[in-house]
Amino acid sequence: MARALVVDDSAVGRMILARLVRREGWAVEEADCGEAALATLERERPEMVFLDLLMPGTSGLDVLRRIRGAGIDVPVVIVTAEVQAHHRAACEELGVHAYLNKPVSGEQISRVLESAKAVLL
Amino acid sequence: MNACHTVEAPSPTRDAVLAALHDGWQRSAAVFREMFELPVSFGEPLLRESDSIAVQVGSVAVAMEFAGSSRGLGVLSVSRATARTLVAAMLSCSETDDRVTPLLAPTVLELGNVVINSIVGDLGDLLGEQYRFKVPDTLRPETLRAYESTATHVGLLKGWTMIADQPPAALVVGVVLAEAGDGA
Repeated sequence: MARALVVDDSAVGRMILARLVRREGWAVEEADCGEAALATLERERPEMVFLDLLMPGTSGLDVLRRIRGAGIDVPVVIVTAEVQAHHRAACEELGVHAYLNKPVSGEQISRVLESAKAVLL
Repeated sequence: MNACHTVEAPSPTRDAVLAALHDGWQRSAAVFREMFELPVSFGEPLLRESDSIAVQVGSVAVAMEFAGSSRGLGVLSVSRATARTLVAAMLSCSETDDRVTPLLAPTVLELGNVVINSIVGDLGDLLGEQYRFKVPDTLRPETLRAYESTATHVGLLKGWTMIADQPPAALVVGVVLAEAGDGA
C-alpha cells in the first residue's frame, strides 16, 4: 500500500486531510511540525507528502527547502490556507507536485494522488 | 476610544475593503461544505465598518495577525453551539459525545485559519500587499485592543449560517487594518 505523509500543526487539519487520503486507499503517517515531518520522511520514505505552509517553528516552506536541498524528489503537495500568489510562487520555485488551497475536496485529493502515481511509476 | 477614521479613508480603500470582505464571506460557505461535509447556506451578511470588533460572550473566537507594508488582525467568532455542530459533523457523532468539547477550540482555529486567510488574502491582492500571517491563535482581548487603538480601518461582517437542519447561527468575521509599526 502506498504511503503518504500529512504534515500540519493543526490536529483538525490533519484529521480532515488524512481521512480524505485514506479514502483513496493510501496509508497515512502524520506529523504535527516541520522537524517531525523531516524525521518521518527520513525514516519512513513515504511516496507522497502533503505539507501545510503556516506552522510554528520550521515552516512548510523551510521543510520543502530542506527536502529539495537533500535531493529528495518525493512529490510534495502543498495544502494551505494561504491564497496570495507570492506564497504559491515561492513553493513552485522549489518544485511542488500541486498547490491546493484549504479546504480541499475529496475530488482534488483523488486527482493529485492519481497524478502522483503516474509520476512514481 | 480609538483612532478609527474609516469614513475619511482614501478611495478606493474603503469600498474595496468592504468588497473583499463580502467576497470572502461568500466563499466561506464552500469552506463549511468541504471541511465539515455539511450542507450549509449563508444568509446575506450585515456588512459594515465599525469602531470595534465586539466578540460575543460565550463564543469561540480566533485571531490571526498579518503584516506586509501594513499590518492587521483578522478575527472569526462563532457561538459554542455552532462549534459543537461543526465538530460533531466532522466526527460523525452526537453533539453530546465526549470527544466534541476538546475539539471545539482546535476546530475553530482551523476554520479561522481558512476563512481569515481567504478574506485577508483577497484584501491584500486588492491593496497590492503581500501579507505574511502568524499562526492562528485564540483571540485575546488585549491583542484586539492593541490593534484597534491604532486602527485605520475596521470591517465587520455579521451573518447567519444555516447548517443542515440547525437553527440559524451567527458567524462574525472582522478585520482590523492598523497603522504600520509593532505596537500590537
